[in-house]
Amino acid sequence: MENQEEKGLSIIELFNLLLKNWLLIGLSTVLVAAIAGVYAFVIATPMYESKSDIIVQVESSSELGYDYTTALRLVPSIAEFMKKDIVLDDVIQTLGLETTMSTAQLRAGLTVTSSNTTFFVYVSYVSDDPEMAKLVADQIVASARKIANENETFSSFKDKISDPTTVAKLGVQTSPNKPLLLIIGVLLGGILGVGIVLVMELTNNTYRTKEELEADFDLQVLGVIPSFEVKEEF
Amino acid sequence: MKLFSKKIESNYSYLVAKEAPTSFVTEQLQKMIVNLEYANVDGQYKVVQFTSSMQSEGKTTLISNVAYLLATRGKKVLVVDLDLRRPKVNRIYSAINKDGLTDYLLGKIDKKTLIRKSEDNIDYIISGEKTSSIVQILESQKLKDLFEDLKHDYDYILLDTPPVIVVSDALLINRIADGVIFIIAHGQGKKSMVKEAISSLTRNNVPIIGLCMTQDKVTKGKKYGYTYKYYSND
Repeated sequence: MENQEEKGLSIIELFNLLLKNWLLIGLSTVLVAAIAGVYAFVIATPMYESKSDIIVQVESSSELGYDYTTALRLVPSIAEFMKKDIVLDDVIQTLGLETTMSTAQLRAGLTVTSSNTTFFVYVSYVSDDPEMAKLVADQIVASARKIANENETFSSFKDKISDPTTVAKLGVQTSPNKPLLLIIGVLLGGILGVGIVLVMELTNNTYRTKEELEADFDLQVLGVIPSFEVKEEF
Repeated sequence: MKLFSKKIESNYSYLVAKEAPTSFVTEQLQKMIVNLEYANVDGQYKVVQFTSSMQSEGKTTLISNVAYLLATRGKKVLVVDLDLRRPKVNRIYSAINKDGLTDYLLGKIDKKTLIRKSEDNIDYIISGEKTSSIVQILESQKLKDLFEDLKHDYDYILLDTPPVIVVSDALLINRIADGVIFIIAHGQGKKSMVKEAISSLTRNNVPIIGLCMTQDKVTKGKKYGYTYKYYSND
């Protein structure tokens, strides 16, 4: 019977094993990296992001100075408000996107964030068209301002949304992240290759050493003859 | 790796023991012969059958080299091709497969024509014309008588036989042999298959002299050990 020690792989053996199977590991690396590359450069639709932001206006409503407390509550509310259907529908209407985009689709590309330590609200819109990303990001702010100022329901937001503090620029490509995808492809391919080699090694049930033969048969091993190449030097 | 074995297969006439007498391979072959000689100290194994579980495990290559080395040790050696399905011994000695064993058993030629001599002074018998009645030939009394007769003239009669798993020939040849050397190529046959082959041989009550591993993959460290350097100095 074989004991565990004989079955184990030493670091050197492991290294030799990997070295011996370099071709397989290399192939797997190249293959997976190529798949990642094809995905990143050919298949994946490039997405562009445009950013805009506004500042929530703070009023000096009392002798004590600026009313920061109310303003700080307003910031998340306005951020939330910008994602509401009423704003998005107005964006769609203004830009004439009724035929191409639904409110839900528009919302899917939209991110509105605010922080509770500043009065800024950040709007970003991701689209496969850089021009569209810019238009929508700007229009979100414009529509939000318009509705806040005109609609009675949102009277508390009136004059609270500033002009854009950052005007949206032509969308910048954010995805796919080509270098990252390639690196992941190379790493995954390498790991996959090494994994395959190790699994092949572990599941190999052939005789490869004299000791394995001696362990399984009560017979003498007369010789271990190396494989050799035919040298034709004469 | 596969390319190398192809190259070896197609070059049966290349005798590593002769062309590279100081090589590591030859040294390992010598070791095997020493072991065989020790196992055969009483000379009870005259007719030695070489077989394996599968095809292309290096039987013929091993036999040709063992025969050569035994001959250089002053032994009278006869190599017989009993692989009537895929004869190869003729290729070792670059002979045409004509006037061989089957022809002798059919009475076409006499014993004198049957036994040929190689340039290295090794006697050999080739398989002869292909026949479909292989089982009958191997079971024939005439074959048995021939070997009883030949035993008187030689120190070693080495039999090249088909693999055990593929056809039953090897088990029939077992009747003629005094002992078996079972060849296992490094990392080729499944363990279960090798075990099955060996157990089917032991059922025939012919002793297995020993095992021999061929086509061993030697790591560089082992290959260029002190022995190699020692020999290359002279």
